Amino acid sequence: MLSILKRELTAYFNSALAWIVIAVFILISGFVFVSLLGIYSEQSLAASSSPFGAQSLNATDRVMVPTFQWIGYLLLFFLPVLTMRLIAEESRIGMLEMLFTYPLTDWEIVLGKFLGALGVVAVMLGLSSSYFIVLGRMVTVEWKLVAAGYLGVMLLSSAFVAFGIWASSLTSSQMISAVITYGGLLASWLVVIAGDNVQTAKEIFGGLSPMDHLVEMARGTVTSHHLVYFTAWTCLFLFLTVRTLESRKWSD
Amino acid sequence: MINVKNLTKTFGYKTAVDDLSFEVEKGEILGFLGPNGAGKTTTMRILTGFFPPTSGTATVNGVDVCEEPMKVREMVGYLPEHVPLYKDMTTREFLNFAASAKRLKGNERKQAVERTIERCNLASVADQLIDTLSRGFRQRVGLGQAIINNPKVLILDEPTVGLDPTQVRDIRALLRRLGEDSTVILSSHILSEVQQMCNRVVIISQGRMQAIDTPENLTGTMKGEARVSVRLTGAESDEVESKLGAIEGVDRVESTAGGNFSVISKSAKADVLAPKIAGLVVGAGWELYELKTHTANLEDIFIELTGPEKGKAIAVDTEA
Repeated sequence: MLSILKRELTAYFNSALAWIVIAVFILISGFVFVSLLGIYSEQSLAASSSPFGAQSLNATDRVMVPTFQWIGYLLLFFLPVLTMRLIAEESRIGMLEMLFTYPLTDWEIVLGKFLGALGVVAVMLGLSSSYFIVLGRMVTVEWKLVAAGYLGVMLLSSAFVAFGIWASSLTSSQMISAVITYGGLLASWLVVIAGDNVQTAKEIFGGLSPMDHLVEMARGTVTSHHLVYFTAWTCLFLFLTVRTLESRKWSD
Repeated sequence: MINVKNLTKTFGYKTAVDDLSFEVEKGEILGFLGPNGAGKTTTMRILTGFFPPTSGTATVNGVDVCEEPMKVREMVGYLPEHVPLYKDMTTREFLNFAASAKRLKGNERKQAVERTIERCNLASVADQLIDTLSRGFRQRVGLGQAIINNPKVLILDEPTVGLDPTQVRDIRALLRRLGEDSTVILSSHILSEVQQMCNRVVIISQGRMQAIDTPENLTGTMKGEARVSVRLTGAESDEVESKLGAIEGVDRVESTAGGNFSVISKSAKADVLAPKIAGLVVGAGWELYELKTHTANLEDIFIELTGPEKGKAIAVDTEA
């Protein structure tokens, strides 16, 4: 498994892909953070002159939670780019055939790739932590909440990456793999909108949106409910990927 | 070393390998010969633990490919027909990846990589990106990943296809050296290659074994005709034909323009016929320009065993 993991990290950082994704992610999420911070400082300035305003304004609600929420949205757009090649490309160049003759189990191949992509995400998120360090110099930051937020986005990423790998295992075209991933992830996000409009839909799908789980975790509610949700999602799609790989050997 | 018994593999309605049985001894080089789509690659994939057979058994060094595929994969080095390589890696990086995927660790892995670079003559391109390598070098890198952990068995699917003659010679020399310590199965449709390199040859067609023997025996026991061609002048062709036809064992004589005759026999060997023909020609006072015997080569046998008529025969068999 380590050999596959190492190979994936090499592939990401040998190509410009990982660097560009990281750079653009940092650029946009940095912009979002600075904007949120700007709005917050204006509002808190205005609130300081009013006796009631100050209490409802805190950095957690106004800056941190929205930042994590935005990181979640950005991940939805960037992760498919990272995951689309994982298995599709191997399949296109015929490397999958060779890997199946190496003494590696299908699980080792899939987990190696999963952790490789997650490694890039970790670097990306690690760099974004500078925002909170900056914030911490200006106001008191509850570091526990920052940790909860990062746990949330990491879990969200692992779910998204697992879904992306599965999509990538379905095809040998990176484009198709990316489109499936976008479709699936957007659909999972949009169940919230469906839930807002239709009461029965809300009852059925209400707990299904990964973004809702992320926001709640960023607010500090790290309950088993959220952990199980993301872990189950991740395991399900990793399992489906392994099964897809198995079936591809048969249909050749 | 390799034991295949009643191996069958079907994909849906299509039978790729049909009741194949053979054995390969340690240190042997076995050639797989057959037209495209004959089931060579499928058989090879089963032997690498890639997928299990539909029925029948295959064991490598006593280990069943279905029961312990991981153990089999550790013992087998495989070179697929289209060598896939990570083009963004250098030769050394790629070999290092292959070595670690094959569970070689630390110092052992370092040594295996260096040894492979040396064995496959890759030193000059060791730190070059695979993307920039020529076809021949890529093939050698592919071979390198297959042999990196000194596997007991090497399975090579069309190892010399698409290479220029010098590269083909290099690869063959390398394979012969490898054949000294490991058991090799190679597939090819280049018949001369199989004839030169292999101790034994399996001919398969439409998933079925048509023959298994040494190249010498296969050509020796060829059921076809012996053929001696003669070029001479000094007589009418009718006269020559009738006299040549009278030689014992000769079935028919074909004549072509310019005094060329072909003497064909089903029972007598060409080596026996040739001196008799020479004696006859000299005795009759004709002028002999050329006398040539044709021995059947693997190509004839291949065509005989896998040709369209054989295909029909098989179809009739299965219907009956």
